[in-house]
Amino acid sequence: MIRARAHDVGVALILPVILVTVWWFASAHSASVYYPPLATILKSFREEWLFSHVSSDVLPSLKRMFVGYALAIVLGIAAGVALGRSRTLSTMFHPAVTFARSIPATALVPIAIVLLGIGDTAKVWLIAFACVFPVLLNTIDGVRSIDPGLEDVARSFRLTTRQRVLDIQVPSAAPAIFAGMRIALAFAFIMMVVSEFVGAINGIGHVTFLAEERFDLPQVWSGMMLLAILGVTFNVMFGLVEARILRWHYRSKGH
Amino acid sequence: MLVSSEALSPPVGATSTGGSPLHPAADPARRRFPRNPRATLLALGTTLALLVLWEVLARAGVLSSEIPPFTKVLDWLRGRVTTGAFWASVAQTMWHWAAGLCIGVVVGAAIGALTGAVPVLYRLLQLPLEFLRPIPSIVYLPILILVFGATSKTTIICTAVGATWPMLFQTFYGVRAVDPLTLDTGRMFGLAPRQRLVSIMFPSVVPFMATGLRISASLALIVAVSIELIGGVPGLGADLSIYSQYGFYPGMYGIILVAGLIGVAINLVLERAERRFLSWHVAHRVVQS
Repeated sequence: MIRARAHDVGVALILPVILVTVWWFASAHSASVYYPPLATILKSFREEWLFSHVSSDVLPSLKRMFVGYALAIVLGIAAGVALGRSRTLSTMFHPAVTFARSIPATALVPIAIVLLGIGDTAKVWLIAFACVFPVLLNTIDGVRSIDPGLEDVARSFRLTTRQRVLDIQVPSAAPAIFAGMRIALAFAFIMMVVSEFVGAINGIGHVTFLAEERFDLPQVWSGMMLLAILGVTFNVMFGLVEARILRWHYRSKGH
Repeated sequence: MLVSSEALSPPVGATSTGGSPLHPAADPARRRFPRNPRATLLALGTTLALLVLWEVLARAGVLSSEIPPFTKVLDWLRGRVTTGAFWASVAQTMWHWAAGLCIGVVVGAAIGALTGAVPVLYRLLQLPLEFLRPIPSIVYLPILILVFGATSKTTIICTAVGATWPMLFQTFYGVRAVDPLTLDTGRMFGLAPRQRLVSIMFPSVVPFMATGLRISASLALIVAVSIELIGGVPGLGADLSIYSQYGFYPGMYGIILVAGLIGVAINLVLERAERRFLSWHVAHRVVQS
């Protein structure tokens, strides 16, 4: 079993190792401005991101992203439970929600800048706006598909509305909500990057875009590298958190 | 009512970004809006009320002066749609969207089908694909702008990369979800490989791919408009950026309105097409009660 897994990992690593090796050697003596040697990129990565820009740019980026994301989760679940429980409400707001979620959220960046400036507030709201829809729609779906028997039991035991929402509806919808939160996390990341590309005073995207304007190619590459690593890290971390919180669900499903 | 027994087993709604596939029967977008006069009236009434609220608040000066009343946005849009410049922008954006989407969908479907069907390829590509998937295509923009300039080419490449992922993983999961028992049965009955492909594989995979196409299509529009906006590549995004620089607010909101309507239209067309061509699939089957 363990040997089989080691073998799988070995096979999985073949291509990445080849790609990185080829990149390293092919670019080693590269004179091209656009494709600096990988060694130069890594040097830039070390100098720029470890750790001189961490507190000035990386942390502000992450803070905005997570505040916006958290806001979207709270709003999305609250509105989702409301719309999921009430046919009337969901019918009423159907066109508005359909339209709002079809707007490419990045197109709102200029509006947010005009209304709220290029500081944290505008970015947090932009991120929250983009993230709220996946959470909202999945919450609606999750709440609607609750086992009616469970609801009857809750009613027989005379649970209060508050208890029914917090102890029955939200946990039952949790797997669906998590699926929405995973999509929202990707949106949060995209909005963080775009909002910093367009206008910002600090942030990873901001630094990378300044480097592009300065034609500092190694830093552009290292900035992109950092963003890529962050994207992957968020995804992995989300998987771990989800597995932990939904352990009861996966267990009951026999995964 | 739609058959939704499979929809009861979450997680539902996962897309390109990870985890589980979006099973066609568990796709929130497939829930239909109730079709009766009361529902239509309720929906239209609420929408109208929201627009009137916007209008009144803006005219009364409650909203900040950067938010023009809805009628002003409409007025601007009415004048604007008669100009060639407007349609040129729309055409540019749609070209970026369509070209990027086509490339992305073909590449995604090809890689997805191959990795789904050939175990060796899956084991080889799994790690690189899982690594690259969470990286939004916009991340590659700075280098693309330096290499190709702020051009349509850059926009289409980024859009294509973005559109590849949902299609890739939906196709992959679709191929994996083909019932091995049905395949064996087909083999037992002596179906030729081609017949097995057409009569067993396709019907099982196509609904997954339809979902992938829909997600890719919305994502492609987002990416295309974003790149135009950030890079100043001609299209609706660049118009938006120009209006915001000159503080021309009705234009800003007008463009966003148009972009939103294009998004709605894309979704609507694809959903209709799916319902029409995949009407045999469980997710679309209607139970008479």
